[in-house]
Amino acid sequence: MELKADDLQLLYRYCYSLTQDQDDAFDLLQNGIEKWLKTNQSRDVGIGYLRRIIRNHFIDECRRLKRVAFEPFADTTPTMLAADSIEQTMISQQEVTVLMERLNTGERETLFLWAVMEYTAEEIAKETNSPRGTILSRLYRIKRKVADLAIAADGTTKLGRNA
Amino acid sequence: MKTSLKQATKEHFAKQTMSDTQLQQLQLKLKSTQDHCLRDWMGIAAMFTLLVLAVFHFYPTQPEPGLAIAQEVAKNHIKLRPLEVISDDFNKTSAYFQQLDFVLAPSRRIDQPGLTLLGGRYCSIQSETAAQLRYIDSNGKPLTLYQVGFDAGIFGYFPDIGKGQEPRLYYVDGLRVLLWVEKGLLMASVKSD
Repeated sequence: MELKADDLQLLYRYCYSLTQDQDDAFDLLQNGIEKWLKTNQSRDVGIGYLRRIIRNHFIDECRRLKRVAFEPFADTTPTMLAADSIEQTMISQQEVTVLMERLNTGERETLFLWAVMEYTAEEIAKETNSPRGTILSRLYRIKRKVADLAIAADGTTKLGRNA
Repeated sequence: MKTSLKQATKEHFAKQTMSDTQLQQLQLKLKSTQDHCLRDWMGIAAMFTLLVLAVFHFYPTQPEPGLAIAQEVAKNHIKLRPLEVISDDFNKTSAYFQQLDFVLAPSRRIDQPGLTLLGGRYCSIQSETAAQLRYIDSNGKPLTLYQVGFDAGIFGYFPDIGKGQEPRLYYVDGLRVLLWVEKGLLMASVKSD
């Protein structure tokens, strides 16, 4: 399989969704490609396989550095009834930047796969080897955090008017 | 102005791009591996011929596999990422690296006077977990030393200074990079020329 420049940039953005750091994202991508090239299947599998290699390497690195890669869920975490209920969520470009800082790794990855790769919840679950309920929970939390941003922005606006 | 979360997220990630240099680095790595695979299938007879010719030469004619490693360690040297262990004592620094499947060894190539150990951090060389040790010389210039367990099957041929061979020298981005095998470890040193 040939990797074009656009493919590499998309993979880099996936790495960035995991690391939130440009240097770490490039390192992760580079290490992932090196591992991918060493596998016997490197010519016969698609980019999804390479993303899984990158994801596994990210988890290994977090484990080595004693960091939590993907936060576990409590059973009581609410889930979204339907994945498409997040489709109507509106946000400004400035708020997206703030949102990314407030999301954990799993939520950022889920948001990337949903928005940029346009995967369904089922496809994200398969890609990340996670239960579909976990993905729906993450989408719910993302939607809630967007709403919290809007509330915070409205609060600031009201304070400004009152002043 | 607000837009859909999906669109805003796409635009956010679209701004995250690798530089042309980074992209070229990856494309070069991909291309060199593809070329290498072609040689595997088509070069058996050619390699045999080279082997025969090498018998009549003083020095071996094996291809040099070290450029990718030299570029990788040079890049790490330039970045100077934060140290994970800070110590001027080699044994204390070495004790930090519990995740390695080898033991750090002092190198006789890094013993010049005025060189002070600052500490170390984990890194990787060709995806193998490695250690980076950082030194500073009497002029305040950094020198980084990399160590990783040597496996010729992974890294290829490198000179062994224990057998009296000289390190292999590369110049990358204005830096002087030396690669060699010592005490069963592949080592690399990087400093300004």
